[in-house]
Amino acid sequence: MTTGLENQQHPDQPAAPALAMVPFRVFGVGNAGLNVVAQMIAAGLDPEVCAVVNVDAASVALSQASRKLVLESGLMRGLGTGGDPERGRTIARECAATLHEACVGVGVVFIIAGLGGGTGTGVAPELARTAKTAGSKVLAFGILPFECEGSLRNQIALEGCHELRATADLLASLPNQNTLALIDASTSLVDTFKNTNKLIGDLIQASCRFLSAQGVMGLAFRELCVLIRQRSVAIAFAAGQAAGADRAAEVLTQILRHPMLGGVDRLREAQAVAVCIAAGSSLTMIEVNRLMEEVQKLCPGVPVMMGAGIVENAGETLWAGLLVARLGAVPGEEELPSITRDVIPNPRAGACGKLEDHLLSPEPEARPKSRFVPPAPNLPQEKMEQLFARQTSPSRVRKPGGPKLRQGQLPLEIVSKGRFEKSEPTIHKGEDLDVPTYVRRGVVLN
Amino acid sequence: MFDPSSIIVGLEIGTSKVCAVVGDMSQDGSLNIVGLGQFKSRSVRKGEIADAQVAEEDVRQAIVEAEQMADVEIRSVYLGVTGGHLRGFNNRGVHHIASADREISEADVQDVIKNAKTINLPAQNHVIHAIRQHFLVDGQDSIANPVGMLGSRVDVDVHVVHGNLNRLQNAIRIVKGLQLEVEDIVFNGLASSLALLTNEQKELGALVIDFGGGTTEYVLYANGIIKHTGVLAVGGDHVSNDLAYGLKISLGRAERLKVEYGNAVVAEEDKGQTVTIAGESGMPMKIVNTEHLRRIMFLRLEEVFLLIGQDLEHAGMLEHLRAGVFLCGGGARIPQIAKLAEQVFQLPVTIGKANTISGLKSALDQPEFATGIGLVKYGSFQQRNKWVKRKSGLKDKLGQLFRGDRR
Repeated sequence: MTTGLENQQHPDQPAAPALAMVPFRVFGVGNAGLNVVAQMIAAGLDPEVCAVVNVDAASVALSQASRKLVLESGLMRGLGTGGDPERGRTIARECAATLHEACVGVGVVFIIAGLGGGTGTGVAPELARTAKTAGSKVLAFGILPFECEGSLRNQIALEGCHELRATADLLASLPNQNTLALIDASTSLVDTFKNTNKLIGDLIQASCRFLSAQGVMGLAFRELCVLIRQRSVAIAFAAGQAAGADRAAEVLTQILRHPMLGGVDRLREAQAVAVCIAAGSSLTMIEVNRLMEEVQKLCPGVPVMMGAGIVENAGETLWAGLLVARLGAVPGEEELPSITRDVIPNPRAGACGKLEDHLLSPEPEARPKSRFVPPAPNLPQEKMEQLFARQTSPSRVRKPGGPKLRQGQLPLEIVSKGRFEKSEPTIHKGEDLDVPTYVRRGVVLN
Repeated sequence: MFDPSSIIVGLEIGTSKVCAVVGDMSQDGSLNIVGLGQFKSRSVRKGEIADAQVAEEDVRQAIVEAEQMADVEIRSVYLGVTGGHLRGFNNRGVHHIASADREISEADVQDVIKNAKTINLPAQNHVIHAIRQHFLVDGQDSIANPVGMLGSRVDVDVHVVHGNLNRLQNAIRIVKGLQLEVEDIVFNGLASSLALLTNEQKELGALVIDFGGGTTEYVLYANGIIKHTGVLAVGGDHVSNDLAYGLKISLGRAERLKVEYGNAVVAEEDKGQTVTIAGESGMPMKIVNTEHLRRIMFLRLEEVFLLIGQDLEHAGMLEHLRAGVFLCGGGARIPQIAKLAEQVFQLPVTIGKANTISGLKSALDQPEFATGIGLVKYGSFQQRNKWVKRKSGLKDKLGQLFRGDRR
């Protein structure tokens, strides 16, 4: 399927109005969405393609986005949504005409919303619905709150996630919690959010780039999104960019270390993986091949889809993105264990140090030498070289005297299927119905 | 005691019980339930047999009990089948009328039905039912019988239920192993609906949900014909399993708690209520919160109804239900389950009773015997067709002989 952007825009849409077609528009919904959009504009995104949606006129007025949608309603009496998604939803329905007008003639609508509050959680699904009726494809990015923001907020966020997933074409969940890996003890709260916004902004800009790339190989980004959506419910998205001779390898390292991916192990557990590559006309087949080989090696047995495209004025830069669809009912639910497992150990970092504490032995102990020395394994020459290179590569060298990792136990709750352990699982739309409903719905019995 | 040809036996090898129902059909076609045998099923999971030897023993016990009660010798049965592998869908067959006068003959009707049955299915799949819905003559809709009408083309809509042949064979082999003949296999959901619904209800539009031990079957009628069928491999076992997991008790205990204290909805007054489970020695062993127990049940049951509702909504069938929803199977005994179903479907919900047949009152009133009784009723329809055919001329008889067709 080698199609340019122009002819894939609206294959199944009812006759589009004779407006100038906009390939995409980025909607920041609620305060979190606004902040991300502001950050992206500061980073060089054209304000013309940005729109902001909020219930509070003051914050919208400050934004530099070209379209500013203030959702007004007598319902609020100037108090905003007050953290109530239901209120956000009602206001969005009242102002559906405003939202619709902003979506008409747009090829792809990006929705960025912080889930867990009133506006983002309530308005984003309504916006997605409106955009779809206006004939646009909808890619939503749901920013999930930090775990420490409280269970209520997390619960609202998860409900919002479910709703947004049902209405948008694709929802990538971006748990803030994952960015804890990037900060250390001295990072201020403001900087933390700045970092997070930058991270999310970069991801969205990367997806804009993939979208506008002229597809030359495999599927276009949008098709990849739609395909991968059919596979699963929880989708993680990571992207990276690099230039130079070794750019393919570098970009892959960036992606695999990307906090939003949540660790390399995620790939192995994936239902489906989609890779998206964009670069200038200097993109070589060898690079594409190398990237794909590495990804496939990381996730044996998982279906991998790919798409590559050419971007104008890209220079030497290569962008790559990775969509990972997993079989997890609730995207935020399983994020914490993955952090404790995948973070590169850094005892000096405050937040991550705390998480790692139980894995670290208090003092480095000298291990008694084993009496048994196993014989060297019989390996072919190239395998030996590979192993040697891996063991001596700089990332693997550990400082002598540094704390040793102790084998830890994951705080995962393994749900036993009881009497259905041995029978064929009843899978319905990706959910294993043999697992108790209350466990899947996350209902807590106190 | 009875003429053997008038004895019809329905056998259901269910997840919680094996049940054999004996019916006696008189010459005028009226049906009477005369015997019932049941035995606890020990080796069926989600409606499918896990251990053939144990299952065979269970079936034998049930058959023996039914034989004693009805005082007959059972030679053949109508076997109910279910399982997560069964699928139902609607299909259309087309046939062009070749004759010069364009009159549709009986042979044309047979041809069009044959065409509708030839479906592109994987080789391992077997068509259990191809139920005739209605005919179209030259595009004219809703014709019950086109024989004698004029037209150039006749279409027929059928509802096809199919399943994996090997998995269907498992149950058939067990019955054959007991030297019993299987007259026909019948989808359990279809059998239940035959037992519960009157023609009027079928005409109005009704949904039958058979909430069994391992599976839940549902069948939807609209305008007197079957429009939609489905199986969900979730049943009462799942409720027990959820309870065992959630309350951290053994499966057997969970089963007993479900029966004694179960409820489909969580009431305000359940909050803070507890049940004390006695240990082997009679000493209190564990205290279980009633609210938790009922919440776990409520969530599971609600989910089952929601999944069925979603499927029907997807098929666009929910508007056709004017007679409402009928529940049967062991799950229909859960207190207030009708209330829960009413909330989910927003329709009147009734616990179904096999009112359409006469006989043993004790059997007819129980929702869990609906499938067995329905199997007998299905058998009686087949039997009646046979009688009609037998009465037809010698020519037909010879034809049947040559075709090797016993019907």
